[in-house]
Amino acid sequence: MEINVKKKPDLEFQAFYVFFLIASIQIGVGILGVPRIVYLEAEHDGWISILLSYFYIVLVVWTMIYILRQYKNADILGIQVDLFGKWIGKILGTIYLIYFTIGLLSILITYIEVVKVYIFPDMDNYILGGLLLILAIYTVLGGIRIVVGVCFIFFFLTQWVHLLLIQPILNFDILHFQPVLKASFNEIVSGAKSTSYTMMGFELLFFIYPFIQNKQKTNKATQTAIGFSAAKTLVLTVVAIGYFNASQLTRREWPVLDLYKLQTFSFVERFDYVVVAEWMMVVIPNIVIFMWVITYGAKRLFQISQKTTLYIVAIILFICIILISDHFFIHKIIDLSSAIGLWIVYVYPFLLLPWVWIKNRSRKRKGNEKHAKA
Amino acid sequence: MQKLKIFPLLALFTFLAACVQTQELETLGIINARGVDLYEESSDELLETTLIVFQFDIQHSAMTNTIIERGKTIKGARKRAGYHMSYNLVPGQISVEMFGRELAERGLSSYLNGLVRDARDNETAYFAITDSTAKEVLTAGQENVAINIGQYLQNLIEKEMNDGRLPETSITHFDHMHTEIGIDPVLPIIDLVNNKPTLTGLAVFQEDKYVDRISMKDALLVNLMKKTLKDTRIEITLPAKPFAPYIQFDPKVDVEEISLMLTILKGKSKISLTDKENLQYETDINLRMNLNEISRSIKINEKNFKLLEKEIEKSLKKDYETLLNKLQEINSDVIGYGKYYAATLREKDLTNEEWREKFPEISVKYNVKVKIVNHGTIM
Amino acid sequence: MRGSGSNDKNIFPMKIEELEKLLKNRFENNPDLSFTVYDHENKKIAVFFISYIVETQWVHESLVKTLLEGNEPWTNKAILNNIPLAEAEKKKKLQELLDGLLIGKVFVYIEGEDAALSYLLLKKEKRSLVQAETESLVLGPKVGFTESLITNLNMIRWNIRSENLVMEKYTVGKQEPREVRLVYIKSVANTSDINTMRQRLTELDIDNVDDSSVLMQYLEDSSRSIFPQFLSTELPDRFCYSISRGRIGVLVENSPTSIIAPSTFFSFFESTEDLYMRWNVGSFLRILRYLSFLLSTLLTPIYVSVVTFHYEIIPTSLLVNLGQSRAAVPFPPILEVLILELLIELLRESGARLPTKVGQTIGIVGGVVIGTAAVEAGITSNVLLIVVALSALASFTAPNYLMGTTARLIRFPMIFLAGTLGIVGIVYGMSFLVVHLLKLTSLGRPYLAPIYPFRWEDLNKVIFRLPNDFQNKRFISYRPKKAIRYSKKDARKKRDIDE
Repeated sequence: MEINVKKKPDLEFQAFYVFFLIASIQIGVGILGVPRIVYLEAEHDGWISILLSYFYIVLVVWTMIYILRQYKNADILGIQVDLFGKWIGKILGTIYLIYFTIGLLSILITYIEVVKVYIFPDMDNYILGGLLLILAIYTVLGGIRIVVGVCFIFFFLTQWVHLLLIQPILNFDILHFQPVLKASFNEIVSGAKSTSYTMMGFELLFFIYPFIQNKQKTNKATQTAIGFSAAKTLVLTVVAIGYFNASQLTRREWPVLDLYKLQTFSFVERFDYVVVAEWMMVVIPNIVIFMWVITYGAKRLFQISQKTTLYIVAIILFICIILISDHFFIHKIIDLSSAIGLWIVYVYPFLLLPWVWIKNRSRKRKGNEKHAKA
Repeated sequence: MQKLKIFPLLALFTFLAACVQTQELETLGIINARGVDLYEESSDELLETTLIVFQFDIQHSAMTNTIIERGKTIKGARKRAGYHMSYNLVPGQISVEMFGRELAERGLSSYLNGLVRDARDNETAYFAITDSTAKEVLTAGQENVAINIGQYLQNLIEKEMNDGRLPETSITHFDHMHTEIGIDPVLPIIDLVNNKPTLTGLAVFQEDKYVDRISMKDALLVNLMKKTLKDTRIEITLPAKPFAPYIQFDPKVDVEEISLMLTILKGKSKISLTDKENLQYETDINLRMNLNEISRSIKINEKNFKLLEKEIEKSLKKDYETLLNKLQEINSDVIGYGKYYAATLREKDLTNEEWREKFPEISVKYNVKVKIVNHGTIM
Repeated sequence: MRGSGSNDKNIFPMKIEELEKLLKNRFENNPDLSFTVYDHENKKIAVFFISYIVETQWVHESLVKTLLEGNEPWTNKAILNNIPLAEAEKKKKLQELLDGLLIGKVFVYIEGEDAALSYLLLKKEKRSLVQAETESLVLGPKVGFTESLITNLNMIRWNIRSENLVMEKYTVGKQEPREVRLVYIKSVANTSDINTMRQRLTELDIDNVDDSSVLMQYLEDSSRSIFPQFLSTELPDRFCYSISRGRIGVLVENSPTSIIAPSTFFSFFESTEDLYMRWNVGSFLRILRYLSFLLSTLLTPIYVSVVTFHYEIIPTSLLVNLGQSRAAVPFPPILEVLILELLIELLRESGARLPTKVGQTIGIVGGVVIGTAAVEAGITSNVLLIVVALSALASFTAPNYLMGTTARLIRFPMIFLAGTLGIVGIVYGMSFLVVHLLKLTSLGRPYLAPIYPFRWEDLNKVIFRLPNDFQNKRFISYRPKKAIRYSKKDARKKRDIDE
């Protein structure tokens, strides 16, 4: 396996699009429930938890980019093979792929559950699951350029939803945040930990890095993206805590959707239906990116053609979607996904860093020896 | 390749059609207003619900139908109402939910729970209380109001709310208020006056239980504490004595009171907890008003204008103090002083019971400031 | 037939009788083949052509008359020097003879010479210049292309008077060859685009092309898509507008429709009129067109979804009317909509096929009488009648007929999705549409440019029509050779008040 990725130049995209890729993948279904999850841990100081987790992610992203910059044009799969040898490298790569598959599954089933709760209680899972997977296949067949395009366009198509927050913001109650820092430091940290599922997704950078045209701008684009996602999460959480009281917030599974529910207009009586349906446009980029990463990763690791992986993964996911409809089981999958993610996404880059240093040093030494001999 | 993409889609479409339950408009009996009363003849029939239902039929020109049915829960009663209707009863368009007083005295939270749990229910509908039974108000109202009673009530509440005379009363808001620690909810009371449903006051709750009622004027005072008012009309009665020298035309006629009609251009309030230990509060109220009407003709100049403002301030202050006394007496904190207290507690959370003990002891100092900006064309 | 070995051989010199036999044989003894032999100064001279595609008067006056009046024995050289006709060519092969006869050439063969001489004296029936039928402008030149390629080229030349205007000539069709012209401005158009188009034209291996619209479908990137990827227009005005902005045009003989490539989704909503209007009016009209595209694809699906699934969304005041009118209808909403849509499509189609005067009557009869009757008979609700009429009306606003028909057709899958999955289905359909548009290319250029790939400079040209000093560049997503169209050096000087 090549450590650096060789790809056709027309597959490259500008660093500017990295913002949309990362921002799209970070904001998916997780954000719908995040105010509640954070509140359960850190109560009304949850916003501090989100800031905390943002600062942590800034560090992680910085580390990731540092690691990537040590190579010319490599992705994490290549780097792992370079550092740990062929076997361990590939096993680690496979773990990434499994993690992505579980992540994709959790997104799909969560969205289907939301639709079932809010719009069609008697809908079968396979209908929406099948439709979404067909769309994902159709998109991924177009390759990375189309995937990036979907993220880019759908990002703009979904931003209007925030206008619906006006009503809850008008009924905002600042007293809900007092006294500040009531929660202990531990509670705030565990609140930050609980946002991990929502904020995940920037690990994608490890995979798309070789495709970026102007790599020197990657850091700026990625940092803006995580800043944007964190700000969005923060705003939604602050509005939710400000609007709902403690008992409401802890009882509601998806407080963000309930926030959107409040706005009424003369021409549309209930906006929650529109928002739940519209949220599909938030979910589709997620599905598509994950799907692409899985197919691409399988090709890098095992030289399986992307089309084969695409169809096989879609069929596996489809079967899983049919089988899983129990609410608590869905939560188990989300928990599993966030548990794996916590290690892979938030801790692993730091573990990788010393290895990269060691490797670099030995490489330099070898280079020096060669020089000396010459 | 293209065929591969289209075929699964087509195949899906064909059996998609049967998979999701349709709710075709003409097959639905759309509940527009619902009244719930206590009814206790047997334990099986705890509640009596009155449903005002839209149903669409070519033969009948009258579309609104009233259905009265009993059941253990609201949803159960709805199910039983469905037994004698060819339409599918659906609750997604309820605009007003009305409760009889007896039921409200027992507490509304269990009914609320069901409404909030079902994501398909309309959370922006309004709650209202009636002193008689909801059944009476809805059925009599349906007969005596030209338009549909559900829409009538909705428009009535909405209008008063937009004008600032009525605090927010939607389901979400009620749910918010009754679960929030340190504040109690209020709901409008709608009674039959001359057989017409009329807003007669504001119901005051202790958590989810009805305890007492206050007048519509007090409702405005409560609302002023909850939000900033704009363009709200208010009637204030002042003692006539201080103005005696300025009364024009027939100063000999002896009157005790002068009534003023004023528009609040902007009314703001600010509550602060000055002494946490002794529970002393200070409430600043700032009002910019327009003078619209005076029951007696008074000569207006700069000096007595100030006097007028002072008198209004005094009168409002008195009103607030009376209101607070009444609220403390019935132990219901609809203004939300408890929230300010809770916001200062660092070690533990405030509980409702705690606040019920403390609320009657609080003392509030009202600082009312009135500025009359405009008084029309007459001096 | 074409390209078989014997046709490519040099057949001259040969006996005149043999030549006559050969040609008559090839043309299946067609009586229209005029083959006259003159004896002049002991030399046999044959003049042959197909009678009705040649200006016979010219043949007699300029050619035969001169031939017979001369008093020397004619040779090819002498003819070339003495006959007052341009465009003489020597033809030696049988195939050249056959092709030449078919496009209106007159041949002269002097027995014993090693080549026949040909003169182009074609006569072509053509209609006069009239206003374009399918596209119309309120402002600006209104004349349309005609079936005559010569006339069309003539109009373009007069429009774009530039020595950089290139009109490359190609022949497409093996069995029935047809002249195709590739038109572009060399100093502006992108070279790789030109090469792509050239390649597609030359590599097209086909027996015959019926019309430019058919040729367009062969040249397109994805002929299976519902969206047209090349712009087609009947207006020389629009054609030249696109050419001068660096696009490539294709004209086909005998077709009044020209092809413009590459084009984006948005260029189908562009009209030259936007430029002729003031910028604010132009922008308004353009936004109106985008809106009407959305309206025409989404309005009826929304009706279906709301009436079938989401009664909660309808405002209470509207609910009563809607329910009342629905109550009389015996069909489920999706069927009701399909019936009415079908009705409208029928009206539209019959209106388009019938002569103008009858067509108008059909429109009024259909719209007013059938519509009212349908509501009274309880087949449709009156709210739906408005919705369908509005969406039909909206589909007409697209300046391009092809995009208008696309909008008509997209509506149907959308209605199905709305009828099965309600608003979720509509959003799904929209998402699918966006992905599909993203995947499309036009001449290898992304169809959704400049939205994706994103180009800020082009965005204002596409969504709005901003004042000219904001639009000094060409559409740079297509990478034209010359990006700047209008130098704005002096256009916007910042001045203080009272300066």
